[in-house]
Amino acid sequence: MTLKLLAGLVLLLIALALQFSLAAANVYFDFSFAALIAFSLVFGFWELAFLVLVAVFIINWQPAVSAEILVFALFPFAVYFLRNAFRSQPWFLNLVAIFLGFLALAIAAAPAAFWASWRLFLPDLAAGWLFGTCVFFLLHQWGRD
Amino acid sequence: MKKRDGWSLVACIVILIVLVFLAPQYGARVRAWLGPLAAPQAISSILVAENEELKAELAQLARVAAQLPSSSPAYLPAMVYSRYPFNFKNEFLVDAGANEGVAEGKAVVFQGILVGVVLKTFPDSSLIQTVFDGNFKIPVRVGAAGDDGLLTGGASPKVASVAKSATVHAGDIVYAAAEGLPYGLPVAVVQGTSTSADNLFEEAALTFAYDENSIQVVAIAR
Repeated sequence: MTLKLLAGLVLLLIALALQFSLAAANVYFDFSFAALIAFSLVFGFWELAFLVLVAVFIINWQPAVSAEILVFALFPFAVYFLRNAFRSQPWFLNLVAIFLGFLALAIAAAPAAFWASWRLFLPDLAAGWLFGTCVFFLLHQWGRD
Repeated sequence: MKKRDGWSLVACIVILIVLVFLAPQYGARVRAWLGPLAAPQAISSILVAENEELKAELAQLARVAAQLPSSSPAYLPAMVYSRYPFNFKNEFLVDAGANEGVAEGKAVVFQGILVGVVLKTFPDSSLIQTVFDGNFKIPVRVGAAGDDGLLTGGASPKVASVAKSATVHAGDIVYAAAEGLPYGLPVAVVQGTSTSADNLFEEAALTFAYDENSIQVVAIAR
């Protein structure tokens, strides 16, 4: 296992621990999803697959596939395959991808509730941007696979 | 990446795929290890819960005791496995499923108080939708007068559609009056009342005797 992948795994576990700790206090931030989206811009396919599977294994709350888990697992791969199609700076692409990913997750999970109270989405997005940017810059120094 | 590292990674991916699809319960264990330790339920909150249960019983006796079934339904104890991890729903998974006789729509109680209903069953586990889920809605009655209302879930659940002529006060008990749930199960206590936005009904804000995040064991109506 390379040092970069190990760093990614540690960052993912930190994201999950933070997410679960805050959820116990009824504060919900999707740090792990933001981390996976940032990973999709710096890791190769197999490393990304490994990290996504670790996250799905830990975060899935029921023994079945749900719309949320599908978006959570597949969106980082969509970003991975499209990352070369855009000419913008990678850090900016990371912000756009986090916005689109969080939007897709919210709409997949509870579309009616999302449109009724979209303001609740903003703190989650802000926290995701912050955490995703930190993860991106921490791993970007190793270069892109 | 070196060839040996590549093979190690593929082996890890295969193991993870097997775990995700065939042994997801180990994921819940890792999750419990990563999450905060659940604080034991405070004695005061247990007393408040018992008080709510007694209040509900009193409210029933004042009006509908004769209509209550003579025997109480049997309950199946179940441990909480894992909780919904995002911001959009409020659900948790328990370790009793269809093999233990759990059926969809059944009441789920914590210390005698309704906390949710069975949303989906799996062979050895069940998904519970709690009263804090935005899609949770059941008919309820309020206080000794038994005024009708609709409990609507969410981050701050409330009783809506209460007639303006109703005599709902702070401190009144709210209890279930929904088809498929044991009649009279206590849900919460009225914290305060207000008029609905369309000015047609009364609404009641609720206070709960428990911290939903500290629930570790529930009972499911058979």
